[in-house]
Amino acid sequence: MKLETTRFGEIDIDEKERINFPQGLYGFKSEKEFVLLATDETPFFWLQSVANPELAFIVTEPWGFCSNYEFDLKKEVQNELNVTSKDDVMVINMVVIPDDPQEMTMNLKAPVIINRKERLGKQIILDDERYAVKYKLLQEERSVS
Amino acid sequence: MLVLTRKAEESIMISDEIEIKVVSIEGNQIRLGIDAPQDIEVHRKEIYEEIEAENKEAADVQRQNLKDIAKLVEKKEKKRGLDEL
Repeated sequence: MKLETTRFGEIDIDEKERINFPQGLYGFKSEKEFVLLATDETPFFWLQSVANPELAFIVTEPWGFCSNYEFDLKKEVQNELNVTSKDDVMVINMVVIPDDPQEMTMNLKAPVIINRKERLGKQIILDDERYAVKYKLLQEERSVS
Repeated sequence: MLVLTRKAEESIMISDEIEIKVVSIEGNQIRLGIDAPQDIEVHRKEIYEEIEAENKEAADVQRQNLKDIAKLVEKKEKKRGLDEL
């Protein structure tokens, strides 16, 4: 199917690539469908809204920047996303790039959980105080304490 | 907004599944207990607001940034590789 995007123009994607977010994202409750676009600029992806060509987020898998990031995925969330196997679960975090790109951060407190197999997604908020909303990507890794 | 007045130890029910209890009152701080099904999220309001604001900031990104930032990440990786030698 053809997808209109502001940043990439019209792109061709497979229907199967669509991911449903029944509850949208925080602050974007009405955005129920996204596609995850890989980029040349690893490890970053674009999370592109299907309905809104202008809306896209830079996201990344967190462990390249925070290797000991971990949390339990609540059973209720697993059920919501029809998770039957750990292998189906992908975790990505929203990246913010301020005016000084050296200061770029990712949101460890509110990861986005995707069930790749079922094409379902949800953003959750972790109770763990160790994880910040703004985790600097370019810092020297020290153990998160 | 529905406004109710409660004393310490008194509760409010939201539908028949959520209970909010005034556990104790100390000066201008009120301890609230919340009993809700596990599939209902409960967070301090500031947290929600912070996450929403962060998402909105994240949405405010133009394409050209990405190539430059990828270079910064590469540089960091190379440096890390060198440091480990």
